[in-house]
Amino acid sequence: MLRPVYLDYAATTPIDSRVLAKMLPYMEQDGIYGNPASSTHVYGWQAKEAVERARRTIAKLLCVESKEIIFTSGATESDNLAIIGVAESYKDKGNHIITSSTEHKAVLDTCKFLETKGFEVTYLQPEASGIISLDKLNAAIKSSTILISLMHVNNETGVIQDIANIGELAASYNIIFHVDAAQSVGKFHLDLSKLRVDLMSISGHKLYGPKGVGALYVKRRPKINLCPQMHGGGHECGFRSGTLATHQIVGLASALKLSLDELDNESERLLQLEKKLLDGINDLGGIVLNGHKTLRKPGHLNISVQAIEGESLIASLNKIAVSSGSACNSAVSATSHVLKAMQVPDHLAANALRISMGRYTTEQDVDSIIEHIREVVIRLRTISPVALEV
Amino acid sequence: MQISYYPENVMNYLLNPVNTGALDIDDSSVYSAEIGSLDKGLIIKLYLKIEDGIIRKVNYLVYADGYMIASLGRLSEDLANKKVKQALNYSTNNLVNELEIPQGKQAKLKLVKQCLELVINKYLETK
Repeated sequence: MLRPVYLDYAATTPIDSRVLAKMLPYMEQDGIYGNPASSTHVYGWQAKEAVERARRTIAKLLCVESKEIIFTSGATESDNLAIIGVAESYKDKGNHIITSSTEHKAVLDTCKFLETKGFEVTYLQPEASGIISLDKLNAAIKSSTILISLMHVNNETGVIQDIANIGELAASYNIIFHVDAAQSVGKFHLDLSKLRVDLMSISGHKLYGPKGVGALYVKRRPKINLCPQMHGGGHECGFRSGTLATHQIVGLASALKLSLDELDNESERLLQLEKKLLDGINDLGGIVLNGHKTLRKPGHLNISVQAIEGESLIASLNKIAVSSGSACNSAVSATSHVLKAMQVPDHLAANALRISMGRYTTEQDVDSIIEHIREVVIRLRTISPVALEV
Repeated sequence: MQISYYPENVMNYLLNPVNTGALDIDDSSVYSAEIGSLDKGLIIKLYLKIEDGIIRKVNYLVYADGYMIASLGRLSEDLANKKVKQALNYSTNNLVNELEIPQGKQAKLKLVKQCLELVINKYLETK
């Protein structure tokens, strides 16, 4: 089967073959497969050394201390550990949490869970551009606020939040600041020694590493207390119990290093591809770019196409693999909570396409994508009774 | 393993829509009706050319999901050269079976049928 061109790198990425090559020696019988927690033999010592080397690599790349990196199963677990961990540890100080209505469900659903436990959560509404206003954030802070949790790069729109200034604001009130950086680690140079970020969630599979591994940066100075969510052995300084997946952790470190080594050229290349794609379809008219025009992750576009119904659009675009702005195949399409919060009209939110390009997207791909999108849009508009909005 | 968004039959109609486009409404034998709204994610504009009680041609414009686009395509083929009376008795159950329309999507077929009835009623009012 000829597979469509993959344009869903924001959902996940394939493992880079160079990363896979680093992982393989940690799985097989003649490799380093020991349990890193086995302290009585060389199998364990070797595995532990590999884990700690990976930890040092990640820490160095993010400009933090090794002990500040806690390995998890992925960004969802990291978000849960950060948010619930802080809530439980600091509940005597206050019960108020600030987040935004455009966060990933890993944050939103965790906050909703905490609401059932007596915590109060403020969900900031973004500007139409998707940006969270510092003024609105400032106004939402109360004496009972213990945590601000805001993502760096939005997974649907690619819009970048100003975590530097948000961090300064949080620090000025002595409020813990958690950043879900699943979409941004490895895509931007992040110097955590300069950012006032206390907790940061990291994902392996968004940066050409393996699925099932992630990390949480936990600041040590000043020390952030976290109530652990996984119990059973006290691994990871007691923050997260469970046998460490050596090969996954090695893969995460290798993937992050590769991403950052190649970042500058790759960002420029993705910007060029993104521009080429937009230039190639803009003259169709009625192509709406959702989210901030420039404060956006390179290669990440969220576009709505006027006068075409969303499900028929995404089904017709069968030569490309993209995400849609709504959950289809249900009786009632659930429109994206992110676009809804940005006040994108329902009919445009329902046909939003998330096109996220990545390491293996070529210029030839973009040429064929342009041709395909043009052909589909023209065909569906020809049969549509809806006129283009002027 | 799923290899396309919709069943093959639906994909065929979606990728190769049949009998689409408006008919000339200045033609006195052409009757049309529109139903739905953008907010509902479904707009159907249906055209029937009817001569001597026989439907000579069915065309449509549609803003809807692939199941509805395919349903209208199939309906336009089924009703061509049929008597108006037969069209009024047209059952959308056939569409459900042939296009494998899932239960959650079947409610929209009522709007297809309603739209068809609106057009035919316009014709009958002139008789």
